[in-house]
Amino acid sequence: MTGAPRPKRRHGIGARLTFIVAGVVLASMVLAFNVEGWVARALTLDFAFVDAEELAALRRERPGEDLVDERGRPMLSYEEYQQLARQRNVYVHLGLGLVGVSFALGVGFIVSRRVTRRVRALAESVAQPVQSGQELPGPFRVGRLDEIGILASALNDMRDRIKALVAELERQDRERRDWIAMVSHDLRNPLQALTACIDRASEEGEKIRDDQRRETMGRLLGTARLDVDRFRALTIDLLDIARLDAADALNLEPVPPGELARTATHAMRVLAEQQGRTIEAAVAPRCPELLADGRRLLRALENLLRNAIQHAERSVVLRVERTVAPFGPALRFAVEDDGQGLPLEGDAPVAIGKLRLHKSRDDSAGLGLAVVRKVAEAHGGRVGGDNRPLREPSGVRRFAGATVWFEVPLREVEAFEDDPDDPDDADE
Amino acid sequence: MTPSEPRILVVEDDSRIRTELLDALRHAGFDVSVVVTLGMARAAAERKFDLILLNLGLPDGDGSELVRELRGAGRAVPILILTARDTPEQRVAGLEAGADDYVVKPFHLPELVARVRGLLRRSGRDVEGGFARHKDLWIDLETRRAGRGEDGSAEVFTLKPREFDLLAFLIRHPGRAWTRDQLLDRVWGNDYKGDARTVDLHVRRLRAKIELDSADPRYIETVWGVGYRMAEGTE
Repeated sequence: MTGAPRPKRRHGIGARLTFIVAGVVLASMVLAFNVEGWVARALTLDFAFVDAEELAALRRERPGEDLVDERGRPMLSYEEYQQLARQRNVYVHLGLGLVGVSFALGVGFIVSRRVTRRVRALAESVAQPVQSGQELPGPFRVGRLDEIGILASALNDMRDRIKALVAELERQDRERRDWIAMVSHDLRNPLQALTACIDRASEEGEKIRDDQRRETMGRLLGTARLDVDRFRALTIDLLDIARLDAADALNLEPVPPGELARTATHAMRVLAEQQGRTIEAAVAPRCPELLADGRRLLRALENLLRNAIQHAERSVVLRVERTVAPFGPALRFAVEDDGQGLPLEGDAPVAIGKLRLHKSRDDSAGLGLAVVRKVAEAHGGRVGGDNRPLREPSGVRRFAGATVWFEVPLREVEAFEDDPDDPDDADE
Repeated sequence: MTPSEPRILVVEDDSRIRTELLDALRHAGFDVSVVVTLGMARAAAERKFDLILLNLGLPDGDGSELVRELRGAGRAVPILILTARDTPEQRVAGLEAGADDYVVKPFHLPELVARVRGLLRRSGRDVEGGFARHKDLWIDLETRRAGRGEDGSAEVFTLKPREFDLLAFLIRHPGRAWTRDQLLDRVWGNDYKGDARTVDLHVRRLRAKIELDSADPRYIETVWGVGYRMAEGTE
């Protein structure tokens, strides 16, 4: 078990509160008795006691006059004094009671404030949002070893265990990614040899005299070549997924959208033509330059195009245009095919690029589209797919084809700040 | 160019790839020598070659060491790197060591042969001073003017000094990929305190002036994740 050794328990909060309340009551009782004594003494000293009958006679002699003795003290009979004292005592006790109650309330407030403040501080630090790559909240200050202290030290234990667990998971994850990257890298050499063999065999195959055999050979080698290319794309996808999972920083550079679209369609043209599909790019005028990871966007586009070529009947179109996404202005790259449409899950097309391990499809689209999703999300963008409806009088649901798209936030390249060291800015 | 066949040194440790390369390059009409290790490559590179095809991951060291050594010794022989490593950082590292171009494995042989031919063609025609043309662009280093179309006629670009330097540099090395740091070094000079963004922004200004559509540049191309290059002309 990790963490600090749990300290021995002493007085709990309940016991301490009892002590404090008892102390306060005792103190106010003592105070009240003393104060009553003082008041009584003060009252006693202020009067000259006279026999009641004598006082009555004096009052008859000098009506309307304040009667005082030779030292100037007002004269009172003992009975009158007692009556007066009783009246005053009521006020004194009432006042003392009030003082005592407010004193107790005040002390109670302060004590409970101290307790709740510690609980709240603990709760606030526990409730801090935990983000990946960030430290867990804490360690928590244990302080006094009451219930709260014990809670804090238990939380510290738990925190240590979570940290150890996360570190272990991260290590395993890193190992897994390194392993994927290594596999992807090590596949390249045999794949290179295979590619070269097929290339050379195609060359040799051209020399076969017999037309029929030459054609067969060409077809076989063409298929082999397509598969090798798909294999190559898979090794790159694997590496890309491993690297994007590792939160590998994006390599941002200015990306002219037209050039990106042209490069992507150019790279996929051979595949499209082999499969008998046409491919074209339509870039809306005045699309601004993006600040993005150009190489990764290119991979994402190539994967979308490859996927569309596999599903298209005749044609594939890449459209690039400005749009407003939920996260703000964005550039939208949409690939349209004229195939059967995306498979449905209920009424909606399936989610794009979510790896579905148990629903294997007949092609490698799973991994390729997963890369598209990862690339879009790494840029703070999103990915999606729609089926373009086809009007059918029969009411049968059919589609004119699928559109699979991703959107990347439009982080435009910042304006150039004039640089005094640069002659280009000095001469004007 | 020499009347005999261009001489190519291939440095590759994988025997099957080596065999296929040898076959394909000989078939394409080159005089090919093959070595297997970095040590052998060092010894072989003493002789004169028109081009070196270099695999980076060799059993006794990294191929980029050889590139650095050759460039350090002032050898300008074109070097084409073959690599199974496919991250932008690794490509940038290869180019900055002094390689002229790179090909990522697996590649198709016709593609490689085309790259080799392109590199051999380019190495023969570095222009110094005077007047240079590329595609339909021209630059005059004497008058520091540049434009499109026939000499001095048609369109003349209004370029600031750095923009002219950048364009002139790129035009004199068509088809070759440059990293941002290399461009900063060669065009701005060692002592200039700028960064990759300085290059990006000047390229952007230059594109706005010379490209017909700066969202789809046809002269100054982006080498994704690496830098820029002047598109190779159709000559």
